[in-house]
Amino acid sequence: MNFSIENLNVNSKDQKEILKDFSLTVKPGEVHVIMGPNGTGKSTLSKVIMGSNDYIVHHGDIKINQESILSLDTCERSRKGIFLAMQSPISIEGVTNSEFLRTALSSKQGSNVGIYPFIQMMETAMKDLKMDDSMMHRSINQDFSGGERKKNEILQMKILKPNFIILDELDSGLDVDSLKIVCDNIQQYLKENPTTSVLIITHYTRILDYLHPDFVHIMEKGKIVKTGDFTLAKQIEKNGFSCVIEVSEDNVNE
Amino acid sequence: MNKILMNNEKNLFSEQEKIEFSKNDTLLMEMDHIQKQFFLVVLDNVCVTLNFLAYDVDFSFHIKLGKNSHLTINALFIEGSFHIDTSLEGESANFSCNYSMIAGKDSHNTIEVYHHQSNTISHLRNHGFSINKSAIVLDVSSTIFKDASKCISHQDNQIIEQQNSLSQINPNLYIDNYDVDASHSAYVGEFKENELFYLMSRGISMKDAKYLLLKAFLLGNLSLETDMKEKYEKKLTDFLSKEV
Repeated sequence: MNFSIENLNVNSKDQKEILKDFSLTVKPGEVHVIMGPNGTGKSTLSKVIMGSNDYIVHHGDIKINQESILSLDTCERSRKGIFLAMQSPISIEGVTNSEFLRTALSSKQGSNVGIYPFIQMMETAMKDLKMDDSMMHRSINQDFSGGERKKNEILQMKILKPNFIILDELDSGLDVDSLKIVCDNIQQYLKENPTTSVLIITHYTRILDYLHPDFVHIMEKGKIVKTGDFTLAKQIEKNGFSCVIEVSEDNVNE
Repeated sequence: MNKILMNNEKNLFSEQEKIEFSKNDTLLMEMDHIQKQFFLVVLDNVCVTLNFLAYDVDFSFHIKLGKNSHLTINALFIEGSFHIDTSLEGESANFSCNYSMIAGKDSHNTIEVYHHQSNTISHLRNHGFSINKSAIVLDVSSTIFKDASKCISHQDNQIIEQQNSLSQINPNLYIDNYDVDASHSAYVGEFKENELFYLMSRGISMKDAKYLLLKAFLLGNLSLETDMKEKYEKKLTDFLSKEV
């Protein structure tokens, strides 16, 4: 999938400017990273790509294979192959993981997925992620630890098989061992689906030790101000954002 | 499990009926298009579960619970109205009322509980879903009398609206004793935006996302065994396929 964002300007509902002339191009199979201080609009970007109603796009475009997706609602964007692993996945009481994912997969495929092949698929994916089988029948993220919630996001990714993956602060809430398990699963997925692209949003570089980026972008005040390779991320890890940008107090909110 | 079926054509009971439970039991009552008044007594040390599945009924229930007795009600009402008053007359009586209702027509419901004795417990969980602009009213009152100490009384009342309607919740706590644990909550509004966004971000349409949330809201409120849950779900799905 060729994914592009062109001169995107986004406001919050209360008219606060969040993204300003934001542009980004991601080609099939590429791994991009967006880093930046708190409040620069990184998480907002992920939600805007996914079609959140909390934000208003008043200029610019988001395209998949040269076609605008701005008029598509959230579920249509997902069916086009975009997947957002959320920073803070919510819990939904009463809707079980299996019911939710089977409905999602059926929606994506356009026909009902049989219960037995689905359970087999779930069991295999959960085993890969070292998740307890009982989580299949529990309410979405209900009483899950922070790490379990993140694993649950990647479980959904494995089942829904997207071709453009956004990982928003995936490493927060994950211990060292869990981060390795999750990243191993993503790596394996990318190996099996080499044209899938990834957009990683992170503050820290530890996730990049597992998922090596092709491009590292630094974001400030709602737009990309610097682009480099993995060495740029290492430079930030060592010296902080102040070595590449002027970090100010008046960053717009995420 | 015992089962009672009632409809407007075949009715084994008179208009006012009394049921007394002297031993532990689980009872399923399926009702269709009736207007009925029931008096129910649960004797000391008896544990009873009542499962109601009702379509378009106007139902009144007057309940008395004895010492150390335990009554759980799991009621799904599709259309109609529900009126229940429960007196906790024996010490340590325990009452759980899990009431879910879906209405395409206006519906007025009253749920009242009276703590007459010490150490009595009540949990009232009332969930309503109003279709189109139908108005659901939930009048929910918990009364703890002066001589009843160390009582526990909690209310959780929610109405989800498909469109803005005149639905309302009137949650009341009348407490005349200083040593109690009591709370009430009330929510009237639409489905939560962040829940819809999460489900839709996985490719689920708005309609299917709302259906998943509705099912969770109404059936998740009830403490049902799997086979019973399937029965309730079928009734709900049949209704929704026609109405929504």
